[in-house]
Amino acid sequence: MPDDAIIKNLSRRALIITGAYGSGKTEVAVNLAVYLKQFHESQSIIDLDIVNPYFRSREAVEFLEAAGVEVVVPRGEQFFAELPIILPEVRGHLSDPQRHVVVDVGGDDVGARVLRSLQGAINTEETEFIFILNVLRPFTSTVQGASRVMKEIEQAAGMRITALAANAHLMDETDASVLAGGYEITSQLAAKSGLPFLFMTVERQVAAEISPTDYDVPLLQIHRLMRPPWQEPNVQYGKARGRIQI
Amino acid sequence: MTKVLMKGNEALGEAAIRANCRNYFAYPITPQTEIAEYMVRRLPEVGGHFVQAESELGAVNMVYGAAAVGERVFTSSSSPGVALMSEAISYLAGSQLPAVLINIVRGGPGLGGILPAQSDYFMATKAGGHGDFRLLVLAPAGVQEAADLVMDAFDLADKYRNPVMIIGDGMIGQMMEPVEFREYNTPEGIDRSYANTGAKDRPPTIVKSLFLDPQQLENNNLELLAKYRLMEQHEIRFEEYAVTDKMDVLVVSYGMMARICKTAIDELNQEGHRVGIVRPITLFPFPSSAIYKAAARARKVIAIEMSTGQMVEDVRLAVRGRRAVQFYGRTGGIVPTPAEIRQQLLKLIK
Repeated sequence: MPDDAIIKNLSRRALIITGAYGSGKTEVAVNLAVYLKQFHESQSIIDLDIVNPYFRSREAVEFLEAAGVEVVVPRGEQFFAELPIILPEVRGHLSDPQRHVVVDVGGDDVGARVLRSLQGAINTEETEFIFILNVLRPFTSTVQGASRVMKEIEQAAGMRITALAANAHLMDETDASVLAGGYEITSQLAAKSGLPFLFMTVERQVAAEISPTDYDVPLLQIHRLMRPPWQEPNVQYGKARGRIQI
Repeated sequence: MTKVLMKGNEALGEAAIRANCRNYFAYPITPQTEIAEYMVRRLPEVGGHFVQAESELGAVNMVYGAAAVGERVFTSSSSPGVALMSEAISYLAGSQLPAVLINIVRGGPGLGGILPAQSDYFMATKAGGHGDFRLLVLAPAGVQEAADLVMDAFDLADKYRNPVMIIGDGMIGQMMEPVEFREYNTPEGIDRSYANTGAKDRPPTIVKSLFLDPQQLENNNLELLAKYRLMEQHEIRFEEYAVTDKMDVLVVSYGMMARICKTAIDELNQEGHRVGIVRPITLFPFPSSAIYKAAARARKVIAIEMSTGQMVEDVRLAVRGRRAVQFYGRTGGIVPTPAEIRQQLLKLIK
């Protein structure tokens, strides 16, 4: 399916992105927010990752803002902290019926726990709680492993996961067979859980290796922003990053 | 075995398990807490033991205890936490006990910050604790190498009955890369005759670093010294990249910083310059001879570190005055960009 089919699968106002630790939630959240901005007047992204010390969506602030996405993230010295900071704007954005929001929460049950404190602001009918799955990660390489992590997240968050998305990758070593493996396991997980399989991600350089008609779910083309410094000649690590062209 | 995508911290933990280590004691600190989180899940699956200690002091003394009974054991921490451990690290060395210590370095001094740094070079190679001792120090430059070196670290610790430290900047703990774990078999014939395993039908063994008789203490120090000399003969590891005759500049850099330097070096060499790099993999024993030889083939030499200048002192000793050794560094958690390194190298080339 072509990637403009994704928007049909993402009709809800608030998309909360969850997943196992290191599943690529931040990459997906940042890319989704930029993609969705094409369709929405007001699109914001909320960085609620209170688990990871590096490689968070706040690293992409300038990039997101250049795309017109409003970024809700601690500023000043707290930008660099891994503290459980919940800004007052978070509740405002979540409960404002005029806004579309993507929420990047930290990984595993530990990262999802923060959602409990926001329950009053989350309208479940307007919210999609999306589980991102990378089957190349150690604890989610099987349907059984992924199901266990999903259950732990649901218990910690106090919310049911409502949809799945595949983010199978091996960084620069990703190829068509990696994507196929991710599709396979995520489809099985969808069948077992009864949840919709919304989309799968594909990096641009890998997109050339496959045909959109190979899969019966839409493909979200993504650009990996959280790259190590030796692959980014001009980006200063330790500062907000932004000079990246999508 | 197929590749999996792992954080450096997870790969360090998994590699320890694959190296048949079943004992891990630690106290959490950013940016290496994922090691503990990973071990909490994995160690029970393989019948291992993890105790979250009340502090780094507790953790490292548990390491001492497990090592004293002949078990493979490791701990991990980040800079201020490793500093707290230094007393017991000295006791481990003095008692000639094998153990693996992992330091995922953050910016200092003091509490500093949580971003990557290389400012614990002195602490790892020269000031790991009081008294006359050395740690064997391994510095990986990627997740795969980190996993491989952990396996080697356990073998080296047993071979020399000495603590071995893996040192990586915070990025190596936090970044993700594909990794494949090699087949591992524990070497045969490891001597555990020192271990306190119960003295039934044999004389008791005593593990100690206390020698009140000065001659006995000197003898122990000379035994340690003999091991460090053996390490210098047999364990030096380094990587040379683009080292050629008539180089404009030779770079000496280790860990992730070396990887950033390589990106800049590739660019410069494509433009017709001649820049090479020696990357020490063992920080002790230090690859002095390789650096001396490579420096002789370059017009200029520069050490590049994420510190205000620590390893550069060993580079100067290695070069023995044959070349002036320049230095470039950033601190505080700021990681230099390849473009920034390129600028520095161009200044030297001109």
